[in-house]
Amino acid sequence: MSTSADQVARLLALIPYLQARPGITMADAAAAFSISQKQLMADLWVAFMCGLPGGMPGDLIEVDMDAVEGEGVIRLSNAAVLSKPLRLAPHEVGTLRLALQAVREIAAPESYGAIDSASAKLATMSWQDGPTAVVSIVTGDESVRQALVDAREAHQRVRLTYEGGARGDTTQPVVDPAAIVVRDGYAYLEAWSLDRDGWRSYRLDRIVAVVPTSAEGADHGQPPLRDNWLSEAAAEVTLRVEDSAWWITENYPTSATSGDLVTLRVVDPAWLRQLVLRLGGEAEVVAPLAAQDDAVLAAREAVALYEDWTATGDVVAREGSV
Amino acid sequence: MAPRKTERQLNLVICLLAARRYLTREKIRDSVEGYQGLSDVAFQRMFERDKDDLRDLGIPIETGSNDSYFDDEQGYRILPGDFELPPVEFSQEEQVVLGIAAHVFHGAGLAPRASSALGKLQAAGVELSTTGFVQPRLGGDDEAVGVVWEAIADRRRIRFDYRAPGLTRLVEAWGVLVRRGVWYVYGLDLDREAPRMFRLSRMAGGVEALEPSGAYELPDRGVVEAAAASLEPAAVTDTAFIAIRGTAAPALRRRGSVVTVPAPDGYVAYAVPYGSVGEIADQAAGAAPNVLVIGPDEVRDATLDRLRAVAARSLSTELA
Repeated sequence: MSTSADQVARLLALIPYLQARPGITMADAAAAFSISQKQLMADLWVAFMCGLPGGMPGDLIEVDMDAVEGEGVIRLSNAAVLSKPLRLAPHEVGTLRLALQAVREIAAPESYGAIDSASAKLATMSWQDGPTAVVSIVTGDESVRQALVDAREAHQRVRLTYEGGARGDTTQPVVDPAAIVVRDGYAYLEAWSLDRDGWRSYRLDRIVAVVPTSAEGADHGQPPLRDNWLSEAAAEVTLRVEDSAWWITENYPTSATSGDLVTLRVVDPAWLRQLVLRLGGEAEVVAPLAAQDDAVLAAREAVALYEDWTATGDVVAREGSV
Repeated sequence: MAPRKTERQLNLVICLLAARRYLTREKIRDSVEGYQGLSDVAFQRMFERDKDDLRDLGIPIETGSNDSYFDDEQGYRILPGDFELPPVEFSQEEQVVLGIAAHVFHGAGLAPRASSALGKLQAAGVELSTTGFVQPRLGGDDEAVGVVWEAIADRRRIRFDYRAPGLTRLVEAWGVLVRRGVWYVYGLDLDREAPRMFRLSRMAGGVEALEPSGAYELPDRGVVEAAAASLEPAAVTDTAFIAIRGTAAPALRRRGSVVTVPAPDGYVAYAVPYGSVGEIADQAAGAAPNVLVIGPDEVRDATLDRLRAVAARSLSTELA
């Protein structure tokens, strides 16, 4: 937000905002508009230079710059013409309604009513319809989300039933829930695991049950930020990819592409194994070659099993499947 | 940044908002700080550009004359009733969910639009809570996101190279879909004369929004929703019989139910509903050898195709 157009737009909201909150701190005002205090200071100097035609002292917007620079509080006055913000543009209404859709995807059912009514009010606030958007996030069962929100509000420790990731075991970790977040279109529970004594992420659609324990949850501070799900120390693996499998570059963290070569960042060898197996002939690891050994061994074992078993049990099985 | 330009445009807004009557260009030139001392040509050009910039922000600058009986010079003003956000009232619960929504685009393409909208709501008295337990994020970091979004709002056609430079498409965009973190735009492809879906991340070299605004009408929201539904997995129509070893493949086990179909030693047979052969073959191959497909043949063959392609490769130790 550094162009002149952005600044004009912001000032048209900032000036009425500040008039309605005399004495607000620089920190609070900057946070409300998602800008730095330096940017806010620059905005205030612009406001200070503006006002009604005439340019006499009584015509200009008054900003107590001594209070701003001394105590870090803002007193802005004499801007009656700009006491109300500019109406919302259709794209702004659309943006907020899109954001509310994302909230609805991962919120507990108890919030649906407020989300829908807020969205309906926004829809009436502009002069024409905003852009249409449809959001879907992989988020699992809504009763799981409600149980997690309830536990969090009651400060309860919970036992999850979790059908884990690539290795596929079912576990029952005891955790203190900290946040429900979204990464790359999947919702995760960030929680402190008592068994592991550390932060863990659990994919929401793989949590099949949440049961409160009698223990009170403890505060472990903020869970670590993970920008995407493979931000931990990762190995780089390069694959040669057919056109039909090019989608992997858009769905997984890709560090480089060149021609038909794609370099992925891989944390979990089990994840790479299942990816190579499902892609079959559409992709092949080219470096490091050993990275696909697991998949090749798994495929050979599976093919042998299929062949053995076709010889002995196929006829029965097929009859069973009809 | 151009503080002088910002000051001049803000002064122009205040001047036109405070005006009781239409103001002529000469009057505006005399009144607004920043227009004085310019040549006639420079002033006209600057005033035209300022007007366009402000209208782009959604500021309704009216044109008219004060006296319809005489052939008065055209003037300009902003009616406060058209300019101002009408009174808004959100309940406590609504303000909480708006507070959560405020963080959805954190650092992403639509973040500035969300901030400006929320700034206006806060200026109208809405109080937003800070972030809490539920923290959705939508991503959408491509620069294309913002351009496409405003183009749809303004009903302006978009032009972009798709997948490779030179493969240019001209599209009337109808809506945006965000599925599993991937952003799509859906709309009418004017060259192919049919609706098409495009991934924003495949728009090579950015997107251009073309003049004029209002070039087309948006279809009913249902059209975009139907396109979104087409991205979801095919509806479940068939049943596969799948042998699973131990606690492998919980997703398949959960979808299915144990059946008494013969399975290899150490495996348990499940009946698993599925929508598309490719999707279930992907899952079965991915979990091999702990998962084997019993039938039907087309699922088994599709799974075996994938596995045979991988099994035929050399291990790193086999390469001398």
